[in-house]
Amino acid sequence: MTSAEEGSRRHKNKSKSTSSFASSIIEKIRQSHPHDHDVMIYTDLPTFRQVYSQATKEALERSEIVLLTTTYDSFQRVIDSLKQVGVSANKEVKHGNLIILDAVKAYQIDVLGVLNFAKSLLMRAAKDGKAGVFNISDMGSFFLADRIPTLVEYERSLQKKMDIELKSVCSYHKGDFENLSKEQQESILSAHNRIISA
Amino acid sequence: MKDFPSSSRGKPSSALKGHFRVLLVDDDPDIVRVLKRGLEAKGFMVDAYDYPQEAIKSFMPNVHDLAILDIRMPGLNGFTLYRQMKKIDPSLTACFLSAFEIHPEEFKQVFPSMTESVKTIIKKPVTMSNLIKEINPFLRISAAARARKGEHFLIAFETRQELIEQSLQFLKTGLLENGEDILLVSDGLPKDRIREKIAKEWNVDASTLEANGRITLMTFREWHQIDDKFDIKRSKTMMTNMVRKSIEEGRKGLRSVGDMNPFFSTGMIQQLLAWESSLEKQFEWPVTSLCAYIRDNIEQLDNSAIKVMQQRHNRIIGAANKK
Repeated sequence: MTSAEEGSRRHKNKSKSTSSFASSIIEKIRQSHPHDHDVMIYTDLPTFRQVYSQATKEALERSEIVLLTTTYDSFQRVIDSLKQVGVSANKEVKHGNLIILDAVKAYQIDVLGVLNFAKSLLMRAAKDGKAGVFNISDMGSFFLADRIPTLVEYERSLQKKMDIELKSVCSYHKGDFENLSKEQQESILSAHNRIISA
Repeated sequence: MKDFPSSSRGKPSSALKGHFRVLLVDDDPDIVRVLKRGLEAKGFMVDAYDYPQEAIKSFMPNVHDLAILDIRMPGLNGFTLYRQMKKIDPSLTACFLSAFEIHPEEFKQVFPSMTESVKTIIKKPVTMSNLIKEINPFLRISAAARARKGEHFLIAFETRQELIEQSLQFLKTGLLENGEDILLVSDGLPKDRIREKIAKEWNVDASTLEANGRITLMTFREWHQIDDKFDIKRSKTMMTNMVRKSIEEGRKGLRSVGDMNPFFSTGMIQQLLAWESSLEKQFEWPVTSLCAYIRDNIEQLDNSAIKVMQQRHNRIIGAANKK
């Protein structure tokens, strides 16, 4: 068996346990409130797909605008994952209810890019009578760009309870998070209101 | 003969299968499975991984002609993986895959340390024919980067521009990394343009190095046809003297590129064969010699000429087999 085949088998075995992990995380995200700056550590991409898809679906159902930044899943993959849970992704994007951004461009060109964009969405949400803005961001772009000190500084710059009415979930792949030093991990975790993991 | 599988020129002959060994790493097992199968069908040997951590654990130097690495992999991304692999195998050539597009200026801004290493990002999803088209230049780069001391080898490039660019890269490695003197015999660019490129891209004083004999630039006529007479013996003597001088002055030998296109443009095919026949497949002296051809020219040669090429070169890269 080749390494790739071994990998595929591992993925299949993993997917069996993915749903229960994802359900537990989704339940915690469901309890988010405006101003919350939460952090989520996800174990693998299939789990994260389930989480962001379901959380996006529920936020859209609550009439919130969703801002989703992706590092590892292509736009098409995000759209496909959303469609799988019944979100009319293309329609929601077209109507401005769902914004999908490449996390590399969203964070690494201007580290405050996502935050500033979220503020503009909050204003639009208020104007359009929307319920609010839900943001789920994969923070992997900081690892890709090798900007860990910037990541820590950025997370520390946000309050646990933000002064804007944004619901925000900063998401980390376990493999990325474990590449941080203990001190960096603690620094990031302590900058958040809730730590969401299964 | 080591051929490049081609999407437009038919399947490579079965005798060529398995010559290029590629390392493929992507965290998406579906992509790994499809690309592995496709590359193998095109004659490559493929070591594929959907866990980058496993790829680096198994990685050995001088095994793979090319690494194809996905950029966005959690835990160990393609750039970090590449840097770790380069520590183990400094001559590794890699190209990168991504499902995302990024403007070159943005790339420079976000990944300044990778700007030199990443020439192209192959956009996923990619068809097999496009993948082959994209990786072929990297395989030629790799072939030149893996040149061994004493080797007389042939690369067939697709274009004149690629020939010049890759030849200069090959010579740069010799001069700056190996301590070799370098010789370029080419009509591909005027000498002043080559000097300018060397000075600008290698950050060296090309004129001084030329005056000291570290760099020698010659036209086809200066090397092969002084006084309009084709004289193999004289050309070989010049080469021998350059190697001798390099050794005597404490350097590591000679690295040379011969741009063979003028043989074709002047109709000197018999002289070309005579010249190639005069050179050893493996030099006993510290000479590493790249014979740089354009693929279209090579394909004009008949079977007996191809046979000479095969007999006189240690490796032939990028030329199709005659049926």
